[in-house]
Amino acid sequence: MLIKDFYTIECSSVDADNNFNYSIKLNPEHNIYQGHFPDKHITPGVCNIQIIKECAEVALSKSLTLKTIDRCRLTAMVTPNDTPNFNVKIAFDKNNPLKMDASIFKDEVVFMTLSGVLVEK
Amino acid sequence: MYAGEQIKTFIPQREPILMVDKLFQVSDSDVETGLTIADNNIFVDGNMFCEPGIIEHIAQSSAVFAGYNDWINKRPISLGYIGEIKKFNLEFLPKIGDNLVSYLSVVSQALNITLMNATTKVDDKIVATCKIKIFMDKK
Repeated sequence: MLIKDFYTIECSSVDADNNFNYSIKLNPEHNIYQGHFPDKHITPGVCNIQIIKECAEVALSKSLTLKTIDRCRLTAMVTPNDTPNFNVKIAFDKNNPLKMDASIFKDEVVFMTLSGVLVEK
Repeated sequence: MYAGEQIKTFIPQREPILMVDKLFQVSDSDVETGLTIADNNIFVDGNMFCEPGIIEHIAQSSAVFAGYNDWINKRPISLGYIGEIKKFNLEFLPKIGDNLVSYLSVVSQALNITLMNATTKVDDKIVATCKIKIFMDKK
């Protein structure tokens, strides 16, 4: 984990379509929120990107670098106090195991979608 | 040029996630910023400055652009959020002590959404490029 104590993976599963699913719990006490932002704690979008990448590392049991992002959309704000629990879903491309489509969501709310390509470190 | 604490005039981000420490030049259509990678930067892993740090640096550079233009027009500084990142391509990860220099230019601007082209370099070598869309929460 790049940022120590930022979150924990509470459980994980692989579904019938070979999607990897992770339940994430943020640590609302993390000192990153002192700076983002002092008066309004919002989880930085880049930290959600990092969580997706680290889930992909767990899924593939490899150390990875996010080489390209075709598109990443941030569609709702993640806040550590109101939405500390969410799900990460990753589908790897059948023809390229390091190409992924991922999303961060909770129930009906999608916080982020990301299409990107990883490379092994 | 503005540096160090002066950058806080233009953006609301603070330590430990302040990812711009220099503003070299800014206009109403582009901005050039910098960041020296400190060994205690939260996005450093071993000796390397990792992807989320590079993207946050680019995002905060666009926030500096918007914040500077708020400031010279005597408006309150807005909170800026990343709306979308497209065509991000990483060439290499910088290391501790490297001086990032980023150049961003406006592609389009509408109401509170700004789309910018970004290029980040170290010693004239491209680190990463992307298109970034920033949403400004106007006060």
